[in-house]
Amino acid sequence: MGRNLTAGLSLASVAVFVLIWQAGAMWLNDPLFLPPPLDVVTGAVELWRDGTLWSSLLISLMRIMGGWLLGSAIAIPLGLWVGTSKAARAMVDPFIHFFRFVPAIALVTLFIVWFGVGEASKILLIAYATMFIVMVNTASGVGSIPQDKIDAALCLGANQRQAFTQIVVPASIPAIYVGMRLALASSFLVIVAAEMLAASSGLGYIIWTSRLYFRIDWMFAAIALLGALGFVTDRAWKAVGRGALRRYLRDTTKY
Amino acid sequence: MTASASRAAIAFDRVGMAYPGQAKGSALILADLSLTIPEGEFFVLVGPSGSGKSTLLKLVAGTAFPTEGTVTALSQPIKGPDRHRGMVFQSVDGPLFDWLTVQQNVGFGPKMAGAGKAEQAAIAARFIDMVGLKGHEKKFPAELSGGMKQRVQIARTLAADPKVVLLDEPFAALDALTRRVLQREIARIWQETGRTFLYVTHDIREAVLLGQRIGVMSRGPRANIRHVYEIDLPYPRDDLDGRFAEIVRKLEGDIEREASGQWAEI
Repeated sequence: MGRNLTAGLSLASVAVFVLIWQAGAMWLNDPLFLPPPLDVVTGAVELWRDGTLWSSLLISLMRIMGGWLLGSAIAIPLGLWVGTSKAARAMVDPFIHFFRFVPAIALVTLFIVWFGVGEASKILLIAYATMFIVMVNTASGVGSIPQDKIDAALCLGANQRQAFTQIVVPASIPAIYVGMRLALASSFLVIVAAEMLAASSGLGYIIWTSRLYFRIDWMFAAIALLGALGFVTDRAWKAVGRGALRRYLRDTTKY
Repeated sequence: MTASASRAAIAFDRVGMAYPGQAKGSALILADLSLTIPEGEFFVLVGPSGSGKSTLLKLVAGTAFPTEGTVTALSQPIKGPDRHRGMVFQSVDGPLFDWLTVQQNVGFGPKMAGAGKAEQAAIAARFIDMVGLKGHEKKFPAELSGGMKQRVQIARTLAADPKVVLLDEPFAALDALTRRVLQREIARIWQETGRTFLYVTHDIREAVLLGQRIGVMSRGPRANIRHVYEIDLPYPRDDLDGRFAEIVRKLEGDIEREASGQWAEI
């Protein structure tokens, strides 16, 4: 399928969705239950004009990126270490497979108590949610490197350190990349929960506060923007994969 | 023969090998195996699958160690893998570095030895040319056919300047036509480089096509090399030749007897 055709199909499918939404809203005729798309646009413009929407978007994005990058920066070296060393694995495994099942949302209050209501608690919460996904992916990526690849490097004169930096690290990049992509999605999950509980800004804050003013249209506007933000960041990460990381990924970026 | 040509490139001395974690003496894959391969020889090891041929290569590569006896390369005990003993693997996709171009794959050995960028490229160019991949330098492994990937492996191994080249059924995963072409080329490459080649295969025709000497492995456990054949045919060999067919037939008969266990009573 051509590029123009796929883009056209995507656009058409979104247009049809909006039309069905409009028709449904008109039929229900209850803007508090389901506001029509046009009301949502009006609400969004209203929030945009007073600057709330833009600043909320930026602050949420900053928290997501900060936590996601921090979590990945901790998780990647840890995952590489756990993937290569049996001793490291034995030490780290019990914690990983315990905390992996404690969702970040369960820790929101605890993080606020520990790190305050400021940015630190939100960024750390996202870092927490990111870490396990990226770490487990990285470690399993290391584990799935064919032994032949490492043996080949050693037989070509690489020492253990070179085999790690020249082979294990680049060969793990596809797994790290996929892990970070999954973690990005779960960061969005966590940010909304964190901003609902303790924040005076952010898209999660708008979603939570709109109910106080019965402004379902604002809520819809923030939800739509959150989805759009996720869509854009995912596309951006995919562009990184097709650009700077292209030689490492090849088949990984097809979807 | 010169003095250096008669030195032992590899020597197995009463080697026994057990699976890791098992007690000494019990369930040996290889037992009491002795073999000397002089420098510059093309030695082929044939035997039924499961006889421990690949294990033998690992002992030379230094990725596995014998439970009993010693393996030496040029009189030095083998302590681990290094650039003096290169390995061409059977797996077509596993051993190549997917994120590096053909040129960078082949230049990996020189890079590890501390060669500069220009020197890496020059050495790579020489061996890429030798295996007939000129014009494909900038391609990535994913863009190559199976046969081309094995050519990259061969070039990469040779570019590291090893004294011994170990080949573990390198063409077994290729289609018959490509295999035929590469079999002829590997004999030429061996002659051009003058290195010691230790080649493992279960294909008797391939063994006779390539080897100066052929060692036949008995069926494991406690596998051993009891018969070594000298193949006195000039290179390049012609597998349609009458003498060739005669040798293949004789070897096939011997290996069948080996497989059916008749030799165990000798």
